[in-house]
Amino acid sequence: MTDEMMSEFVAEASDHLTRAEEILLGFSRQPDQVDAEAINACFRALHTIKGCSGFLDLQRIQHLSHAGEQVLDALRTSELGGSLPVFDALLQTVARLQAHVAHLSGQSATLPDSDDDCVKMLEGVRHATSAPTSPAATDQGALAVISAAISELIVSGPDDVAAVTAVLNRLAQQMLVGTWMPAARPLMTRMRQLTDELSGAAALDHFQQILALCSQLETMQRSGEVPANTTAAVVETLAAGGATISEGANGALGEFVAEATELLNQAEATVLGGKSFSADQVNGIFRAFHTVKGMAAYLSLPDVEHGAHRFEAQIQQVRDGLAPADETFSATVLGGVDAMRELVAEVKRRLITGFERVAPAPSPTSPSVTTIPSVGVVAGGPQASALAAVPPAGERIGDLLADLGVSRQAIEQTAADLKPGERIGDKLITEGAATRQQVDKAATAQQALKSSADVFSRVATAKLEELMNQVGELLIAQAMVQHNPELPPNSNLAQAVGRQGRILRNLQVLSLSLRMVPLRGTFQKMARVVYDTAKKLGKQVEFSLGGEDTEIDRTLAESMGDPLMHMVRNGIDHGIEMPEVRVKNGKPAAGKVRLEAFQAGDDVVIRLIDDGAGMDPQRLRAKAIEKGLIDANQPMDEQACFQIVFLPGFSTAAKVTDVSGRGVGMDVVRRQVEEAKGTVHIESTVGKGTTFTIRLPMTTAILDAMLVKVGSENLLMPINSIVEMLRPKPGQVQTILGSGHVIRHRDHMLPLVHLGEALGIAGCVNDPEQATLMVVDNRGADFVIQVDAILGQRQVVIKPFDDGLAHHPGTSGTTILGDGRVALILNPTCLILGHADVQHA
Amino acid sequence: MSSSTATPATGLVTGTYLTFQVGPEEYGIEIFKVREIIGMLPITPVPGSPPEMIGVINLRGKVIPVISIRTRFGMPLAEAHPHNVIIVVENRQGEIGIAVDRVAEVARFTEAETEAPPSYGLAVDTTCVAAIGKSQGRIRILLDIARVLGDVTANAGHAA
Repeated sequence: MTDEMMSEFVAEASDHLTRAEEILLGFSRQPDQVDAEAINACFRALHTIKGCSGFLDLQRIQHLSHAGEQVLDALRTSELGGSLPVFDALLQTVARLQAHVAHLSGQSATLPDSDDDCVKMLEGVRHATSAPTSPAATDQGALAVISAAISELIVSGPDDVAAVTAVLNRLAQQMLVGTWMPAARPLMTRMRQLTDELSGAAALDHFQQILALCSQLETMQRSGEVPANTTAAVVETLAAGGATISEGANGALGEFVAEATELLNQAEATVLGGKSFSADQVNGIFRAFHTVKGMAAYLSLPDVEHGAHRFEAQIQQVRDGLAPADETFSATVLGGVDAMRELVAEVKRRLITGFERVAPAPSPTSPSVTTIPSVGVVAGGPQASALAAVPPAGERIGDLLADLGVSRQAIEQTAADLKPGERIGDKLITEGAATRQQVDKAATAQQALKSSADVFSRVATAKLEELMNQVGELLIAQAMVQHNPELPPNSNLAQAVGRQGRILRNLQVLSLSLRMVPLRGTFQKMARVVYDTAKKLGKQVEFSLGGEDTEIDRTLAESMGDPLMHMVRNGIDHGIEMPEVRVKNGKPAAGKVRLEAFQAGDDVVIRLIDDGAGMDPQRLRAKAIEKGLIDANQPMDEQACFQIVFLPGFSTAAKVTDVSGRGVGMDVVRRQVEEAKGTVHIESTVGKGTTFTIRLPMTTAILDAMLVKVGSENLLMPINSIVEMLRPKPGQVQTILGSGHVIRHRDHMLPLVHLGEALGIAGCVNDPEQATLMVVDNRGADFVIQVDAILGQRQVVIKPFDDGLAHHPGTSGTTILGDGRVALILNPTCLILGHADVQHA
Repeated sequence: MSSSTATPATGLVTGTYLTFQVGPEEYGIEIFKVREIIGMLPITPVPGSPPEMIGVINLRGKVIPVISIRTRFGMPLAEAHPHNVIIVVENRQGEIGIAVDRVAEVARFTEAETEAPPSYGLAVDTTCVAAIGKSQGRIRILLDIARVLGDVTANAGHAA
């Protein structure tokens, strides 16, 4: 440290301390006339001293001013009432600090060996009168932990890496419980990263950054707001920690941008559509923000998450009937939509350009600026605009250059002097203000931003369907040409037709892939949701997946993302107990959550199974009655009671957290599932766990099936229900009087269903020994289906029967075969049911 | 049904009809209900469906049901003939094909040329008849297509 800096500090600190002393003396004379502005001034004084002393490695001063600042902060937020002992303790602290400063300037001031007496006194007054009048979102436990951590860090200093790591570990552990701001997690991540680099030349710098971040964390927790200057740190954290999610996260970010944009557009359209709003519309708007928040949380976009959370809370007021759904509400929502759009635009921009809006700009002087925790000092200052300074849709090259570390001043000056026809990039290079590399990078980014209409485009499903139909027709028409006897073989024409056929098949594969996706993507997102939620809540969860290859209509997979997310979150929040509770109840500490999918006849079934606390139907009912959501006289069966969890506004959570509790999530679940023409069924046993079963019609699902011939008809048997196929040996088929045939197969007697007879198809093979047999899986009650012949495996697009078109239960739908004919798809398990009915009748 | 006298009164509309032959009789359906006329396609029977629904066809990638006018009105099925066509009409549930022997013409009927159907004496269920068209010395039975299809897709009406 240079002497110059030290003497500057001494001069500045003396000024601050004198002013603080004056104010405090005034208060101690009239403790009931405490002026909020004056307390703020005091706070800023100590805060500045803390920051500067930290930078100059004056640990004792830093430690002491931190303790004093905390008491002032408690006063400032009215957590603590102003009283004589409080001001007394503060005055003594100021006096001690003055002694320190005098000591630094070389004056022979008496300085005790330790400041513990002062610190103890401050903590004493702070805790003695601290009243829990803080906003609901803050968590006193969390605050205490952070301030303890800050004290410990100051004591340990940058050299004791093990101690710093231990402190941060404890802090991280605490983060698993209690209520923490959404942005706390990335701050923590960043701090841990910095700890890893606590050696060598940058050690002090990194340690100071950790302290600064801790300070920000504290302010954030206390006020329940992200301080304006946190953005930089958080964005930096995202960049630094980006490696963990950015591989493969770009797709997710792209989807987020597309989806959030759409949700915001919807919310805006709703608001612009009228002057007063129905409860449904308010719910819809609320859901839009809630979903954006959820997605942002899962993608670790704390800015967006926080923004959405704030507006969501405002809309909640209207939703709860505390504020009218009038023009003020419209303005709030529109403001929210605009603010959120800017944040989303920022995400998109980051995705496209690949670099940050707030560039780290590693210039030699910057650490001194960034390491001083400038909390109260700059609130509302120039840095506050970091969040708001999102560029217009057309990115200006100057902004991009500034992001890449070119001095904004130089850019602005150059731009002002720019002659027509001159390019700013070239001029900056000639002037030496920017490198060719920077300009090129900015130009590329600008180009990318201009040409990036959208990473994803959303297309109406109807159009996709029509495209698929047309491609299918084209394929059939092409086959008719290719197999036309009039086509001269080995001719140029035949070759051209053949080539056309290959292109067409590629086109078909492509068009099919447009619609069908495995559930894997949707499921894997849930793994992340489980991880984050469990971590946030301090719960242990063992998550497993099954059947993630089950293919589902793309739109269904997309629309199931939100419901599953809400179900998983709610399941962990309300279902899985804390590890101690689980152990006490004789369960393993880690709760089991399983997400699985399979195809069942006409449906795709998605199941979410947990072994948590389960739900008590009567308790749900009582709660719903208490909330006025249902009529107390309404008789309800168990399932109806469980379905209460889907009512909008229903929540058993005592506290609204950022995990759940607003009673909006499950409302989304039912709505989305019903929109997909599916159902949700709940089974739950208190103490044992809960199973949610979503059944979705597979409608356009693609089926792997075996094409079989029965009489004149071709039918499709789903591959997954076929155990094996066989040609019966003589004597294997036995006739049982009055109930048809059975097959002796691997020591089992399996009933035989004659498909042609069951479906009333004429002209089929009657003698089982002349036919082909298929053993059908029927969950332990296997049976055998007799068909004339097997024609081969096909992958077909299922076309469900029209609504109300009567059909045999043994058929589940239709498909169009390669020759253009319609073939029926069998539903084998219903064939045996039908068979049994016939026998019993 | 006693309303059979009231229905034709409201059904006495003049307009343009697509006429077709089934056996010796000529029938007509309002032209604006007709989507298209296609040649006979392979029809896949659907087990468990009502008898007049003879199956489903692939209409450019869409699977639509087909009813036979013959079976609908209790006439015996005839030999397949190259003139056989399927008239695709649009009803509430979507498209549905009607298999007929052959199409005849598009005819206009003025009010003077139409009259209420007799309550008896027709080969078809009178509730399905909107009016009788008499022009150029020929008698055409103008059908109320919604009623013709009504029974077949009755379930759909409830489901929708």
